[in-house]
Amino acid sequence: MNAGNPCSQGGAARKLIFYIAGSGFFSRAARANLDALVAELGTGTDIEVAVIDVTQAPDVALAKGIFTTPTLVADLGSAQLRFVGDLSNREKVLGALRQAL
Amino acid sequence: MAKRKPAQTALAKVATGFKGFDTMTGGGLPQNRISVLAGGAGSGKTLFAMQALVHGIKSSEKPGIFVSFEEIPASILDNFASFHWGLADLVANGQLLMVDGRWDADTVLSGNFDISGLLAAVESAARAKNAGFLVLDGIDALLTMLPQANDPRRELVRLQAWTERLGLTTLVSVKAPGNSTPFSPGSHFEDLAMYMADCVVILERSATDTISSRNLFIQKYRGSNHAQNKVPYVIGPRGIEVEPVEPRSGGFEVFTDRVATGIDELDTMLRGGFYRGSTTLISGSPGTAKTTLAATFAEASCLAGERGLYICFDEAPEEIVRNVASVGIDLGRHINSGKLHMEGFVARSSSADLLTSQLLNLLASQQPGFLVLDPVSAFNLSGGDNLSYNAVRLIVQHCKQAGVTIVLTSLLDQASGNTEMSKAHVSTLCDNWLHLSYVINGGERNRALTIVKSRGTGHSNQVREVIIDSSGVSLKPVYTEQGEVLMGSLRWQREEQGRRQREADKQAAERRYRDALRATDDIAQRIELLQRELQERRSDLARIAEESSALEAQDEEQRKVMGELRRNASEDSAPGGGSRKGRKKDSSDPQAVSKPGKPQIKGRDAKSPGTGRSS
Repeated sequence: MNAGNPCSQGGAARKLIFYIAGSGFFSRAARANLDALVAELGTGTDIEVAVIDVTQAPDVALAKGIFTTPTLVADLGSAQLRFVGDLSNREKVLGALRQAL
Repeated sequence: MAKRKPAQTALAKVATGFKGFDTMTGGGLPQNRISVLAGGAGSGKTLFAMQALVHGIKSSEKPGIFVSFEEIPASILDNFASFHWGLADLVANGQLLMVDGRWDADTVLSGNFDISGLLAAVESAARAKNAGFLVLDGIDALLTMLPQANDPRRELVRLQAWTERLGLTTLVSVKAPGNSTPFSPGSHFEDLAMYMADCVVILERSATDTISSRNLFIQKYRGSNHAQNKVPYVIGPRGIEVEPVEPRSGGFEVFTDRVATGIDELDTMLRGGFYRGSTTLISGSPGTAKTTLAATFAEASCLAGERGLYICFDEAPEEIVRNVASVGIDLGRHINSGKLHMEGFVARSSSADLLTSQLLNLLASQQPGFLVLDPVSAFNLSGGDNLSYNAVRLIVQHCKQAGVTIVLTSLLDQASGNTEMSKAHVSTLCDNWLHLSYVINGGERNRALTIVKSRGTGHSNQVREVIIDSSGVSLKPVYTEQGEVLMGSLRWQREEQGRRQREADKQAAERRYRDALRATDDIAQRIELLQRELQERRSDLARIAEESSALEAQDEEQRKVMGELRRNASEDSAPGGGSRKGRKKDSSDPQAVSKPGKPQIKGRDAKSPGTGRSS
C-alpha cells in the first residue's frame, strides 16, 4: 500500500505503528502479541510504539491505506516494513525487523 | 447483526444504465445491498462496475466510492478515459473517490487479520460524502490472503452486516470460480461470495480459435424476478452494452410502402419492391453479383432521396465504388452529396460483438433510411454461429424499430454444402431472400436469380437470368427446355431460333397468300378469255346462220332455176322422177331446210347462255 511516510525524514526516529480495529478480543490478543514482540526486540532499542484504532481514526486508515487490521507499520528510517496480521507469527516478524534494524 | 428490514412492497433497485441489464433485472441492482459480479480475466468486471457506478453517481447526484484491489486507480482512470464518461471531472469535484486497496507485495503476513480497516475507512468517507454507491473491485485479491479456510466467510459476513448497517449499494467484483485457484479444497471464496450476495451477475468470456464472445447472466437475485437467459454484451466505444433480452415488440411502425430495388424487373417480381423497414438477404456464391445488386439498391434508394449506410467487410469502400462504376452504378456522387455513408470494417480484427456495437453507433449517428451490410457473413468470421446470429439479430431488430430498410449480402460456400442456407441462419431473420446462383450449361457460367421468400408479398416463382452490362443490372426470363434452364448464349440462341422461326412462318404465310391470290387472278383471266372466245363463237354462229340461210336461199333460187330449166327441156319422163323428188322436197322443204339448221343453232344457243352465266 502506497501511503507516504512522513516520519521517514527524521532519520534516527524509529517507530512502530500498530493499527487495530476496536477493542474486541481479536484486537486485545494482537496487542498482547505486539507487546511480547517489542519486549523480545530488546529494551535497548529506542523504538517508539504507537497504537491507532482505525474505528476511531478512519481518516488515518484511509489516508495511509490501512485496510487490513491489525497492521504493523515499522518505520525504521532506512526502510519501511509492513506486517499484516495479528503478529501471531512472531518469529517471522522478528526476523524481518532484526534484519532491517 | 441487525435483522433485515421487513420486505417492502417492491424491492428498491438502482439502475445500472445498461439498458439490457436493467430490463433483465427489472430495474437494476438491489439498493443498499451487496451484489456480486463474477467473471474471468478480460470479461469486463472492472468496466461493468465502474460504468454502473458512474451511472449511479450521475443519475442520483450521490457520490460513489471505488476501491480497487488489483489495479492502480490512476491506470483505471486512464484506461477508461477513452469512454468519455468524464471520470476525471467526477474525481476532481469529489463525486468519485478512487481508493487504492492493493496488497503491497512487500507486506509480510504475520497472522490472521480482518478488513475492519477497510470498512472503517470507507464508512468514514461514505458518511462524509453522503455516498450512495460502493464498488469493491477484485476484493478476492485481498480476502484470499487470509490464512485460514473459514476466514473469508467471516469477512464476507462482516462486509454484509456493514453494508446493511450503512445503507450503501455495494457491487463486489470477484474472479469467476472456474478461472481462479481454489482458496481451499472444496471451498471457493467466490462461491461464498455468491451465497452471501443478494444478487449475482456472471460475466463470461469465451474464446474459440480467434473468436471471442461475451455473455452475461444473472445467477441469482433475491426477492426479484429476473431474466434467466445468457445475454451477449459488447464492449464498445462508450463502454459495455448489454443486448436487451426482449425486443420491444409492437413498439415500432410497420410500413406498407415499398422501396425500389433499382431493378425494374425485380420490382415487378416483388410486386413493387421491398417493404420499407424490411430485411433482405442476397445470398450467393462468390462472383454472383451480390455486391452489384446491393449497390444497385443503394443507388436507387439514394436517387429516391433516402440516406444510407453501406458497410463493407471484404473490400474497401473505394474499391466497391470503383467496381460498381464499371457497370454504370455511380455511388461516388451520393457519397459526395452526403446521402450515402460508406465504411469499411475489418472483420477479422474485431469480434462480432464489437462490430455490432460499432455498427449500432454508426446507425445512431447517421440515422440512415437504409443499411447495406456487405457481406453479413463477415460476422461468421468474428463470432461463432450463435454469436453472429445474435449480432445480426440485434442489428435487424434495431433497424426494424428505426424503420431502416436492410440489405444483407451473404457468401455461401458451395464447397461446404451450404448451397441455400446461410451459416448464421440469418435467412430466418430476413423478410426477403434473393438467391443468386450459377447455372453452367453450353460451356458457360451464367447468373440466375430466384426469390426464395418474400414475406407479405405474392412474389414471382420464376428464375431470372441476371444480365450485367455497362448500363447496370437487368433480369431476363430464362428458357426451360426439357427441365433444363437455358441461359446466356443458349438463351440467346433460343431467342434467335425463335425469331427465325417466326420470320419463316411469316414468310410462308405471305407466300401462301400470294399463291392463292395468283390462283384467283389466273382463274379470272381464264374466265375472261373464255368469255371472249364465247363471244367470238356466238358471232361465228350468227355468221354461220346467215351464211346457211343465204345458202338456202341460193339453193331455192337454184332449184327454181333448175326447175324452170327442166320444165323447158323435157316434160314427160324427167319431170316424173324429178317431180317426185321435187315434190317430196317441196312438201317438206320449209321444214327440211330449217330442221337441219335450226336444231344446231338451238343446241349452241342453249349451251352458250349457260357458260356465259357461269363466267
